[in-house]
Amino acid sequence: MVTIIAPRLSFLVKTFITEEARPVNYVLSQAEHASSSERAMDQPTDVVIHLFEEHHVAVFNYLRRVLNDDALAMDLTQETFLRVLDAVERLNDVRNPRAWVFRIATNLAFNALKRKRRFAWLPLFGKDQVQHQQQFTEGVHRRLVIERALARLPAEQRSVLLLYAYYGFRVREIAEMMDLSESAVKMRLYRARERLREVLREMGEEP
Amino acid sequence: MREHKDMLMRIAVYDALSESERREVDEHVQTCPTCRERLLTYQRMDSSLRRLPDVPPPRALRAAFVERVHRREKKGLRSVFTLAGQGMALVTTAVLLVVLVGVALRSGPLASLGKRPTVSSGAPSTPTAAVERTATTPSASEGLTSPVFSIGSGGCWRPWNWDKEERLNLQITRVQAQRTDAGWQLTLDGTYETQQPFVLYIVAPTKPRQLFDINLQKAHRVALSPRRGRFSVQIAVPETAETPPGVTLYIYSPRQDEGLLCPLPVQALTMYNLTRGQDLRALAWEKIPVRFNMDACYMTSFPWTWEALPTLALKVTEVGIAPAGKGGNWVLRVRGYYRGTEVEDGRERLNVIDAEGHPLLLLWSRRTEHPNVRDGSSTMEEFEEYYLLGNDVPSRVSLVLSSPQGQRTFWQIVCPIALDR
Repeated sequence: MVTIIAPRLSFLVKTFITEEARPVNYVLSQAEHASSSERAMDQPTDVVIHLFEEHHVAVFNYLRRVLNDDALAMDLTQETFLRVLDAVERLNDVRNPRAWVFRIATNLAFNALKRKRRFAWLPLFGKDQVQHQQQFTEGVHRRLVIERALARLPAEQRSVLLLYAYYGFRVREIAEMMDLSESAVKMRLYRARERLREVLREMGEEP
Repeated sequence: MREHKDMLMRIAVYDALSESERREVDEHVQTCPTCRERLLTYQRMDSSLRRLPDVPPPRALRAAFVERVHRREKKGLRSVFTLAGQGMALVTTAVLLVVLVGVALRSGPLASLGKRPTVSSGAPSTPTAAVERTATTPSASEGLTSPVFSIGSGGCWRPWNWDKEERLNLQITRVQAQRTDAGWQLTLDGTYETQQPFVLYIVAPTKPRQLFDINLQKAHRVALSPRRGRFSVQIAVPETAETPPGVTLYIYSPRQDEGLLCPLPVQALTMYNLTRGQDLRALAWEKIPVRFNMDACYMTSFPWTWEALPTLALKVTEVGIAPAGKGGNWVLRVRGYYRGTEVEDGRERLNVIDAEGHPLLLLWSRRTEHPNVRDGSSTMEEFEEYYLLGNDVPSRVSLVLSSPQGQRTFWQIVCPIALDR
């Protein structure tokens, strides 16, 4: 089963970045015309490693912002793509592999957050010791402020806001990713924006 | 009021609205200053969000992931082979039974008693030669020679969860380098001692910066079993105009699922022998005026964890260079003080990198603690470190302070030091 699917998947992976909007079946029909040498060289692991190469920076950054924990984000980035490997045959049925990868990452992140509530990693230094802000230029300062404000949002709101405003997913895609209705996503997005606005004001910053 | 909230919710997803919905919102904000202000605020916040930089993940992430994928692949293959092996055993047993029955039938039941079947010559021989490929244990009398490189001597990028429990002593004891048309042919001999299994990957870069971005599929792989052992690896190191010749050691710990990354420039490896055994302090030192400014220090890109910004004090009091050996090599000496955080897992680590970010080979290091300034959480420490520069003295190197190993948060502070003479 795997050996038959693998060459198709590899072609899919090479293609979906530019042909994301087209249905997968179209891409697969194109794959039928792929050269035999191209088919022979790929395995499911190659497909997943290729997916990893394409998306791991985005997934890692998404996770670290949702989790507020770089080390955990690193672990879960690996875990996300190992889950992709486990279910690699399903890639054929996936309309948007990028959204699928983010869906897995989101599920892993929220499961981890549920577990994490039982304990918390303490920061190495107290927040009052953070200094040197004045050294940063205005742009860097704004980024720093936004990062901090974002970190103060509830994870559910943070996640929706990042997926929508940063990663550019559509409301429908986010709803599928998070098993929510579209109206629930819109409501969460609205609350996230309002909360971010409040937090920025509390920090004495212009929203 | 409810209508107003509905409008705000639409504004929250303004980019996702249909043409007609967007027109409605546009018309509304013309007359409603609150909603207009909110639309502008959301757009400003989105713009700020989009400008957040993506932090490059640690270099070890890719390598660790690829290793895990390949382990899974091997595990899958092993189970396939196990099944195949079981199948083969069944077939062999069946064949044996058939032959035995045949022999018994042909010779008669009494004649077969006490005779061994002759078909066993067809059975596969035991692959004894194949399992002898692991490193051999050196005899006690040989001892360990003075290392060219030791993972304890610095120059490695340690992941934060590579803790002291790893207990690996790995040394490159000899390097033979031969010039070839394409670059170098290196022979690396080394020894190791460990109580846990490790995997040593040795990779030669084929692209710029690949000293840090390793491809395990093309690596020389040495399994380090829990014991003392030695290894010898031959590797071709390409050299192009844009590729710094060198190798990277990636020492993978299955227990931690993490690796230690040690980039080693060939020049440093081959030249080290020239300075080995010399009294570094007795060299002809040329002092360079110290132009070291704390404000020029910057944090490296990983991680973007500003909450964990460390508080440090660092002062470089002396920078010197000296010629060493017969090959026109130079040694760098850096003296100074620093005060950092002492946590359970250790202290900040100090090393020096060149302009391209490659760690310089640490030759010798001395640390002196000054307990009189101990304030309960940190200690002032005087350092004196010697690094191999190679044939040329660069115009700039950087002192790097890295977070203590074992910390969940990993940071590096890079402080440039000018070496203009």
